[in-house]
Amino acid sequence: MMRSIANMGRGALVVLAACALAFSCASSPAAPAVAEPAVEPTDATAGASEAVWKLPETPVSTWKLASTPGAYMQANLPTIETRVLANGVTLIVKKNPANRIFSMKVAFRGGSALVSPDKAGLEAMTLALMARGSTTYPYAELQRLQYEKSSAIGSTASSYDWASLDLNTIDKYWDELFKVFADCALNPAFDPAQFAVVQNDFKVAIQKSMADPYNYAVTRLHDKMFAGHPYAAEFGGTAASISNITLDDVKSYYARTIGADRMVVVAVGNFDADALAASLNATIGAIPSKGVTIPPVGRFTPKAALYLEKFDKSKGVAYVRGDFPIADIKSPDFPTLQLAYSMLDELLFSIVRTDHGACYSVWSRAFGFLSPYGSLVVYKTDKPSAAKGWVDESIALLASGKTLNIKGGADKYAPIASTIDAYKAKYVNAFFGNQETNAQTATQLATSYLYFGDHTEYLRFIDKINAISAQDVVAAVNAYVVNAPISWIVVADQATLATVDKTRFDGFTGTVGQH
Amino acid sequence: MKRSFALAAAMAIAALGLVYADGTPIQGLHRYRLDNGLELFVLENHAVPLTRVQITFRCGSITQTPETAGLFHLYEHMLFKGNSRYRTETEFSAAMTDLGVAEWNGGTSTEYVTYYFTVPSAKTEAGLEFWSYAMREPLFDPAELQIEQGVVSNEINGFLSDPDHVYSSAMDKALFSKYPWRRDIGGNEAVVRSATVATLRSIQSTYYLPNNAALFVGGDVDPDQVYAMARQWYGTWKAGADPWKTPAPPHPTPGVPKPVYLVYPDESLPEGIAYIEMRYRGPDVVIEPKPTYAADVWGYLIQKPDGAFKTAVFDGVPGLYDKDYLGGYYYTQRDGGQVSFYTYCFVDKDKPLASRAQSLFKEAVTAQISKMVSDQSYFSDAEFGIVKQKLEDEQILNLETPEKLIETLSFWWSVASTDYFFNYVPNMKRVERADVAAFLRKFVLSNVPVVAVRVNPADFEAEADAFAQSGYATVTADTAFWWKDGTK
Repeated sequence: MMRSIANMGRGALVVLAACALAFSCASSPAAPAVAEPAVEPTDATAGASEAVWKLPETPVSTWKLASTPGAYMQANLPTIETRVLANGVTLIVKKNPANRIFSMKVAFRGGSALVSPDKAGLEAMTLALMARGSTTYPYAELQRLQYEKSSAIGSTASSYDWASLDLNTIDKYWDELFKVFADCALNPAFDPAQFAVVQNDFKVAIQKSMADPYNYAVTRLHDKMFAGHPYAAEFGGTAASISNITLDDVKSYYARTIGADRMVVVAVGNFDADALAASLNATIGAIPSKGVTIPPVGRFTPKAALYLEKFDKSKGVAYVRGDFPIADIKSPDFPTLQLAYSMLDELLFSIVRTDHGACYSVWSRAFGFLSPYGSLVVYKTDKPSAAKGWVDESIALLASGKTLNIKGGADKYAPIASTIDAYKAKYVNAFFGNQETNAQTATQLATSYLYFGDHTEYLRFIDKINAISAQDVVAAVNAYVVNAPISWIVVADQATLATVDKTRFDGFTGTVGQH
Repeated sequence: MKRSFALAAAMAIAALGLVYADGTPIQGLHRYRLDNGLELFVLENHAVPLTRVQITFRCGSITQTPETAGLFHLYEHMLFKGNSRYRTETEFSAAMTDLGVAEWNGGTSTEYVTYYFTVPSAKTEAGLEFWSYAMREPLFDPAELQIEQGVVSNEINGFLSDPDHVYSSAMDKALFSKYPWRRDIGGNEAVVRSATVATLRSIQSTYYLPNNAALFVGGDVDPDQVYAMARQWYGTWKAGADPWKTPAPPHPTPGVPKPVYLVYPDESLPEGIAYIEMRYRGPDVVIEPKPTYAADVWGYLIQKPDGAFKTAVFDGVPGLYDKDYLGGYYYTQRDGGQVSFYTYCFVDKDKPLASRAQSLFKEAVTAQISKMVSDQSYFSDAEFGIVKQKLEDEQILNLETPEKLIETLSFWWSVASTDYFFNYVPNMKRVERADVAAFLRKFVLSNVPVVAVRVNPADFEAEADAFAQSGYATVTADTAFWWKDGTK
């Protein structure tokens, strides 16, 4: 019956099933879920070039939103309601009668800023343990219910800035499961035996992640990049920090920080908002504020650098990643960069992979955390130095106002103005694709609320993307990507690392305006 | 299956002739078959204005020989490298962008190769047209082939540092030792490097046929309009000889004549925690469908967190990690069904892993399976009732998005048949204790396993002698792959 590699348990351990591994053609691997402690690099040339570059002080994008919301926002606004619970917590309800799934997310802002690096993962562990039973419903009972009712109570910690306790169930089981879920939030059992299992789950997951050369590269890069910054406390923890955490730490963290002052509740499904608010008021609405002060998360200090990290088992295959600061998520430049990266991805793929066959995959990303950063990745390459040059060539093309010529013809490249509408359509479709499940929509609502203070902000996404001009794209790429102080890492076996031409990473090598 | 007449749709496209959609037991899912044998499944879901278009072929590592191991994966890559309409990969990618494609990919598995993307629903027909050129008229430019051989070789070499891949390959090599290439999707780098356009054309003419394919379309669509579009773009695709007319001989059962013991020093496990698995050859679904239903019911029954199986094995074997990570399952395959039992455990020098896996875990599991066979009350009526409820719940969960159902349907179409899938729940509900007992008697109690231990290298070193003395072979990246043996 099994169809794929499946997570058979409830936690982080993955059972390697007999199911054959499906090979995909060119998909981007998922970002690592967990991180690992700092280890000294085998070789590093930190500070290879001095950072004279500065983030723009004002947005370089000139686009403006229309005064009237677009069709998508107008169609969706009536499906969303809010209530304020007795403890002042906002409840956001999006009605979706199209399926029978009910999803709830109790989200907490704060994340890495609330914990020190030596206790990194404390919030994730606390939430994971909250999903391990309450004083009324011990874990065994919880497990029985989840099995019999095809439901899941769990936690999500996949951001530096927030985490959540989640319930996903089917309409007919809602009343029964909600009661249990609420009790887990209000009266977690914090059973020592379950704490030991959760702690081991985290350790196993971290070890597994670090056995993957790409995850290893990301973690080691972030160790360097976020040193001294709140994000140095990796949200999934490290092997060392997870070992440091005690059950008393978890209990104390719950008592001190799991409070109304950093909560929002999101529900997506065929809910009645008033009935739901009444249920919540009697339960989660009773969680008091704890007077939590969330330390501000400033920018990390950018550093142009190259780190070479040995990974013996990756023989002849390198993993290359470069991260750098980008526009704030609330800046008009952020959506501009998101659209620009969508264009850049196709140039990267065409030049690095198609023209040169230099890698299995290549991509760029904009991560919209409170301290945002962009990423450039060359995944599985036997030509890491040359690939970096081709990445710069792709960036230079975009910065010069060119994309792939998607209409065909003799010229491989075409002005952005002639292709931007197609890229917008593509990006908007990706946006739709990220909210097909109720749980995904709940994440969109929570993210909007936590980052923008307005749960409907995501409904403006299409209008924002459609307002961006070709000039905005060129300006943003030149301001944030060309000559950016990129922290690069190359992970491979020693023989491959020995072939890396460090000078190729010593700054931007593309030529803007020559295309 | 009874055919039902979709009156409104027939009126809408009367010019094309009457349209008949086969009824299906799944709400919103319609089934058609073109004259050339291409099966079409259309799922209506109007939640977002998108359409998923997926086409799947029955081939993959299942259809490999030692001389072609890895070529179905290479072929899948080459399908993105140009065709009669979009002559280069760049044109191909650009056309997808022009269509507003947000997500696209291809995938090669043991028993199917699949291609998909999601387009705005207004461009459903353009999406169907787009894939038709790739499926029917790939170019296989020799220069592009050379580039892609390098890309795929990088991918294969990357697997050598992937612990899960190394472990899976070692297990397959042991359990399917007669035809291991039929389980090895990545294949042999040397074979990939030596591939020619002619070998790819041979795969095309044998397997990339409408009568060996299924087209899945799901989302904000009208089913009968999609049927008309499919006829337009795939109707003239010429059928060929049935590639499955003379099936290859099945993998032997038992998979091994006597128990095989493997230990894999695995850096993906932390010190102090190990993983034990016991894997058997199971029924192949097309040859023996009946025990597969019993196997799946059994799989649900033993998942019960506080059930007799988990409790007894956990209590019976010292040092196991957690009941949640102890279990068993049947993996449905056309050519390589498997039954597996697994657990995580703590490393303890006083309780050597070699004997815990070889004796204690194996004996504890076998004792419980024997009880399941002999004791009619091992699973209660209530437990069978819960399984039936879970089957219905799974259908509700699968219907949340078109992707979920299409992926599920594509898998079952490839591995078994659509009728197997459509009749799955009724057949599962008919499973009785005697069916479960018969499955377990044949595929566990009378069978021979491969027993494997994954353990951190430091822990392995401490117990290396015990493993060696107990007859365990050590798995490494050099021994895990059949094509590295030099014997094939």
